[in-house]
Amino acid sequence: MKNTKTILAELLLLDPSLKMHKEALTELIEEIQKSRPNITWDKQFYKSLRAEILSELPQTQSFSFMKSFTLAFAVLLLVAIPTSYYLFNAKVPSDQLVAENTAKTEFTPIEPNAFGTLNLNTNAYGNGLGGGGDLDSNGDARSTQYVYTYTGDTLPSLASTMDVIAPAPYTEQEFNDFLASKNLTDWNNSGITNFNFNVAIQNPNWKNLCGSYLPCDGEDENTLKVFPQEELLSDDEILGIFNTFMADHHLATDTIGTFAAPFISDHYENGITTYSPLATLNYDLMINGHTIYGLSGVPLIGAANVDMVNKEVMDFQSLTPEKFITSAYATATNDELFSAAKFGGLDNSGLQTAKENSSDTVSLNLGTPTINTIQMLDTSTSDYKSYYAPAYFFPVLDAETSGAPHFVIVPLVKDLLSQLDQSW
Amino acid sequence: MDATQFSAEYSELFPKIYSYIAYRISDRQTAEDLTSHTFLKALENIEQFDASKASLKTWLYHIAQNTLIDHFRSHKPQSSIEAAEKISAEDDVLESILTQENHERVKALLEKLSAEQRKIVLLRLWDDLSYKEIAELTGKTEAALKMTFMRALSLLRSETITFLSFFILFLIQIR
Repeated sequence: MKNTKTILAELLLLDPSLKMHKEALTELIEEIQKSRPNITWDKQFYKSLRAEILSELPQTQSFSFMKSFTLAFAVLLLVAIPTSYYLFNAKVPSDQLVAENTAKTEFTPIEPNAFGTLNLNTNAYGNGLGGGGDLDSNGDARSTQYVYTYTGDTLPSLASTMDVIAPAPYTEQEFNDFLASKNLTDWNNSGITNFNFNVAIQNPNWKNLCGSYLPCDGEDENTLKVFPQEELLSDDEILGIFNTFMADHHLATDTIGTFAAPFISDHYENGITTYSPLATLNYDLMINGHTIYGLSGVPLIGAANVDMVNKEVMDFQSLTPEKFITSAYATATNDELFSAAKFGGLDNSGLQTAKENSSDTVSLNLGTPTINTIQMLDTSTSDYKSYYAPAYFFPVLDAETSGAPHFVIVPLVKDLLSQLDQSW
Repeated sequence: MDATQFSAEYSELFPKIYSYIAYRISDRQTAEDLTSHTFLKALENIEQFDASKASLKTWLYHIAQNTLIDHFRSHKPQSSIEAAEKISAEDDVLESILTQENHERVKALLEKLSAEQRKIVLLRLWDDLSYKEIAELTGKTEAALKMTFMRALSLLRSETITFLSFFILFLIQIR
């Protein structure tokens, strides 16, 4: 039987005296394994659940997408698109913003093309880029290639260059000075020495819950206390604790967006679902008020955990730099961008299939795009570097009925666009 | 980890999660419902997933485990809060085994284990989870899990001997 030898070897390692019972143990292990029910699953169920998951993805993205942009944006787009429009637009309104800024994010222009050749590195993000659609059973190449026709408004020409943003390089000393200025030196218990974009830090008091509510050192769960439901804090109280933390540590809140509702975890303990004393809250990561999207089109999310017993932030998973550098890169023309959008932009995983079998295509229409900021990660080094570049987000007008992605993403920087397969 | 990456992992994780649930729920429709619930709940909370704390696989198992517990709790009449607290996803495993032919002996043996021992034995032998994965799922240390597993199998082995002894005695008596 599978793994029997490994399992037996592990047992003998723990207690060599069991060697004399080797045969009996082997039989026992195999008998239990054989008693495992024979499970087969309905292929239709497999497919329908996959379709349901994929249909959920664009809805989430579409919500953030709509939330982030107003009609004013579309009007502005028609009038003019300044070089750095996407960087310096007004902050997204929200009824749940964090405390007022106590620090200011700085952007320093440096020479053009300073980051070298930018790499989309789409493989690092999985396939199906662009927000869902019908991936094949392996979750990779799409069996249907959507072919998009632009039906939106006439767009003004883009500026010849647009800025790509990157966190400013912090030396170890500068990073330590930054932490000291925020009174967060002793929160850096992971020994991080620099920013890539955001880093996670942990309250030195994190052990306060260990042994009482949380099993940190392998404590027997049966001896732990159960956090009582009646002591759960309200959303407002949790947000208040977080806002106080942000203000007390003079953190740049303009890189932090709206909060999701705190998440009350289910914690398995003593055989029942109970409550964790840690409440997680989420927020969109932003640069200068603009939500940052991954190459998949999903907004990047930060998180923090609030200790509801001691009423303090237990960890902060998105400490972001306050200094960025910007470098101008040549932009593509609208015609080039529309050409890339025709085959799905970043989400053209079915193009190869479509080339081989032209019958596997579905025609869909695109509306007027807006500009969002997408993040690219350079994973070629151990300290991942992040870059932020503008991209058109074209709404797919027939998305609801076709099951296609809800939008098509096309990076505006020529360097990035050239990496997309657009041949037919 | 974002939602699109999550969907790409689906084809690999679906069989594991479905099997984990179906091993413990003999009704196919219910197993499908709970599998759907597990994946959709995971998707809904994908931002909560922290790859530095656990793999996506064990995170999904954790959600599946809680889904099973919720299911058992809501579908079994309980006479008291204490009884409700004792519900474990592994309790119904015994019922699941009952539906299999020729596994009465395994069922009888597993009944000798505590719920916690049974849970670890089955996660290791049925679900093929590593100790590291079981540790992420249960919050226990790998060392503690190995010890629990070893003690459980030692107990089962001794019970096997007892069972055989009684069987031989029975044969002698009927001769």
